[in-house]
Amino acid sequence: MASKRRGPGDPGVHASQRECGGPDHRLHRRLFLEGSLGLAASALSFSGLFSIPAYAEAMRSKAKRCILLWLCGAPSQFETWDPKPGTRTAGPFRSIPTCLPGVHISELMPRCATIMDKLSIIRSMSTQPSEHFEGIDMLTRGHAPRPPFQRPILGSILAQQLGQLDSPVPQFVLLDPCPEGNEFKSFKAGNWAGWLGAEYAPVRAGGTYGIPNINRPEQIAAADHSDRMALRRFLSRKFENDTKSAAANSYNAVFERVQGLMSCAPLFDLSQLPAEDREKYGPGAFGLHVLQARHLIENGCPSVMVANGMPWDCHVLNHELYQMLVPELDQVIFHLITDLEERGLLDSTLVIMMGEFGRTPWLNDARGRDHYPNAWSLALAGCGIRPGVVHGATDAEGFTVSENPVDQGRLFATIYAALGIDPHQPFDLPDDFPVFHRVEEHAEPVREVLL
Amino acid sequence: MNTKVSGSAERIKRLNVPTAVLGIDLSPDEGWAYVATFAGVGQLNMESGEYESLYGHDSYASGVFYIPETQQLVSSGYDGQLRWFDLQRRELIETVAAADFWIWDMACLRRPGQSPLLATASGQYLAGDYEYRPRPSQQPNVKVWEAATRELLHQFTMLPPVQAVALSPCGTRVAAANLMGDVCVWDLTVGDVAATREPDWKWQTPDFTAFGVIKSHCQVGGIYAVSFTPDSQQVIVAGMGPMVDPMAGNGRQRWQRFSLLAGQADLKTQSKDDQVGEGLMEALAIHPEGETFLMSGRLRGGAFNTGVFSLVSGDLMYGFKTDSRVTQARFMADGRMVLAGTLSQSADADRQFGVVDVFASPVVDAGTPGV
Repeated sequence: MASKRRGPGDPGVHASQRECGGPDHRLHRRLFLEGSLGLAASALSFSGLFSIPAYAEAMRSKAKRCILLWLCGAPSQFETWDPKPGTRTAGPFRSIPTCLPGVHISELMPRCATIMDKLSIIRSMSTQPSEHFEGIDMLTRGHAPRPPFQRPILGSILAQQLGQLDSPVPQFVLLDPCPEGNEFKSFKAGNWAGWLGAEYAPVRAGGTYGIPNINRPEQIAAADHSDRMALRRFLSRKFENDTKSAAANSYNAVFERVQGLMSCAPLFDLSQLPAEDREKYGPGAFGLHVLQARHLIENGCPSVMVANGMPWDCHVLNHELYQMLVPELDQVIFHLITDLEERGLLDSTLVIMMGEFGRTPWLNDARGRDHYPNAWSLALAGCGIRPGVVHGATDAEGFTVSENPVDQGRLFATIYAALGIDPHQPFDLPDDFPVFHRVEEHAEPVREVLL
Repeated sequence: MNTKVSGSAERIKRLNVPTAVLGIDLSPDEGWAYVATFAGVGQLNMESGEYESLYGHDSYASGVFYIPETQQLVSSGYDGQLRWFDLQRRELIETVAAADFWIWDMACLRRPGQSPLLATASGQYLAGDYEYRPRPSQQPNVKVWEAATRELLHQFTMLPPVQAVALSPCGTRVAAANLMGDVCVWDLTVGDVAATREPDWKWQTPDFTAFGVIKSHCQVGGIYAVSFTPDSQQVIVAGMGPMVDPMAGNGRQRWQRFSLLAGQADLKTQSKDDQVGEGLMEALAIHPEGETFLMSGRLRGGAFNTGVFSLVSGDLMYGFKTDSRVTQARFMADGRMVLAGTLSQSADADRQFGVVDVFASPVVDAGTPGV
C-alpha cells in the first residue's frame, strides 16, 4: 500500500521543511556522496530524504528496520500474553478471546486481540537472570557478560548491519523520557555499542532529552549556512589532505553526523508529529515516543528502541498500575502494527515487544508481582516473522514452561534470522580478541515463528 | 493534654482465609465475619475459625456488608458488580452491573428503622496526558444505593480512579477520594439520581500522590481510605505520602483530617512524620467511644502498620505490627480491633494467605472527647 506521506505544503509540516521545498533541494546525502549530485545540494533538508520516488521505492523494498518496545522493569505475562483465568495466579483481570481460535489474552488488550493474526507470541521464554541489571544486559545483548569484552547491544548491531553510517538520520535511536530508572539508569550509563565503537551508540531523545543545538540559529539564513558549510568542507578537506591527519578525519566525521542531526531535527520534535497520529498513540509519553519511532524508521532510521523508565516493575500495586499501563501498550501496539502494515512497512520492519523477564505467578503482600525469569512471554511481529503463531506454553498456573522453552540465545538467533542477518557469524574483531559470534553456542532460531 | 494508655494491643487470635481479604463485615452478634476475598465471598466463624465459601464474583470481591433486615449479604467486586446473597437460602438472588470497571471500595451505613445505604466507588486509571494524569471519567463513578431495594439513589462523577468512599453517620453526605488526592463530598439531601452534579465540597491534597521519577513515569498512590468523624462534620483520609520511588511503596504512612466549612474544607491536622513509618495505609476505623481512630495498612519501614490516634490532637496513642498487610479494619462493640488483610501468596497451593486478626485495645484516655 502506498505511503501516506506529508508534503511540504501540508498543514502540520514544520516550517524548516517547507522553506526548503524545492525539488532541487530534496536530495539525499548518500546519493550526493555517490557523486550523483553536485555540491550545490549541500543545503540538505530532512524533508527531502524520501522525496525522490526511485530512491524512496528502493529504500522501501530493501531496507529492514527494527523497533524494540523495551518494556523495562519486566511486564507480567499474566496481565498480557499468557493469562491464567480461573486459577489462583490469575489476578483480577479476565481473559478474552482473540481472532486466533482458542487463543486468549488479557482483557486489558482488546485491540491486540483483533490483530493476533499479525503477531507471534512466545509464551515459553525461560532465562536466568532475576535481577534487573543482569536481565537488561542479557536481554539486550543476547548473551551473558564476558569481561573485559563488551558485546554490543542489539540496536547497535542492527545499526551496523542495517544502517548506513553516512545517513544524516541517526542509525540507532533510544527514546526514553525518564532520566532515572534505578538499574536501567545504571545500564543506560554503560557502554551500549561495546566493541563496535561509539559511532554505533544510540542517539538518545525523548521527554526533556531533546538533542541540543541541532536547530539552525534563526539569525543565520539557510543560504548563509550552506555557504559556511561549503567553505568549512573545502578548508577541512584541504587540511586533511595536506596533513594526512586522522584527527581531522574524525572531526569531519563527527561534523557530518551533527550536520545530519541538524537536517533531521524535526524528527525529534514530538509537537511536529501529525495531530491525528498523536491522538491515536497518545497522550502518554510512551505512546508518543512509539509514534516517534514509527516516524524515525519511516525516514531512514533502521533501529529504534523505545522505553519509558522502568514502569513495569510493579512490586507494589501491580494491578493498580497495570490497569493503565497495559491498555496503553495495547493501544500502541495496535496502532503501530496497523500503521506499518498500511504503509507497506510491516514486512520490512521487525517489531519486538519485551522486557528483561516476567513476573511471579504469586502476589507478594504488597499485592505486587516480583521478578520471574522462569516462564514469561514476549511478542514479535513484522519482518521475517510468521504471523498468527503462539509458540510454547506454560503450565496451568504459569509456574513453569511446559512446551518448547526459549532462552535468550534462541531469541536472538530468531531476531537476526528474521532480519536476514546470519546469527552465527563471527564478529570482525581485532586479532587479540577471542572469537565472538552474534549468537553463541550455535543457538538455533525458533523456526516456528519465522517465515 | 495528658494522654494515658493502659495495656497493650495483643493479638487475641488469627483466623486464616484461603485468599487475601479486601473487605469485611461482622454479624450483629459478632460471631461471624463476612469477607470479600480474591476468590469471592465467604463467612468465617470468629470462634472456631471455620471458613465457608459462599459465592463468587467474576473477579476479586472488594467489599461485603450484612443487611440485618433481610439477612442478606451485599458484595462489590472488581467485576463492577454488586451481588446480593440470601444467607438463609444460601443462594445468589441479584446481580447489578454497578460500574464499568472495578468497584474499588464500598461503604455501608446502617440506619435505625431504615434500610442501609450503600456507596460504591469505581473508575479506571487511563493515561490522560503526557505525564499520565488520569483521563476524566465518561460515566458516573460514585453511586449511592438503597441496600434492601437495590435502588440507585444518587450518582456522581469525579476524576478516576476513585479508590475510597464513605457515608457520613448522619446519612446525608457521601465522601469519595481518588488517585490524585481529590476529595469530593456531596450532600445527599438534594438532587436526584438523574442529575450528576458538582460536589458540594471539593478539594485536593497533594500529599498522597507521587509522579514517578525513578522508575515509573506515571501517577502512583492516592487516597485509599476515607471516613467521616462521628459528628459527620469532618473527613479523614489515609494513604501514603509522596515517594521518590513510587514502586518501592516507601512513602510515609499518612492521614489528614479536614473540617467541612461552608463551601470549603479546612485541613485541621494530620499524621506527624516523626510518629509514623513508611507504607501504604488502606484502612480507617473510628473507635466506638469516638475519641480515637485507627489507621492501618502495610509496613514498609518503621515500628508499626496499625496506629491508633487521638481524634482530638492527632497524636499517636499506640501502634503495633500485625505481620500482614491490612486492607480493612473494624472495631467490635467492646473496642477490640478486627484487622483483615493478606500475607504473601506463595508457590505453595495449600498456603492460606488471607488473614483476619483480632487484637485487644488498650484503654486510652485521650483527653477531652469530641473534635
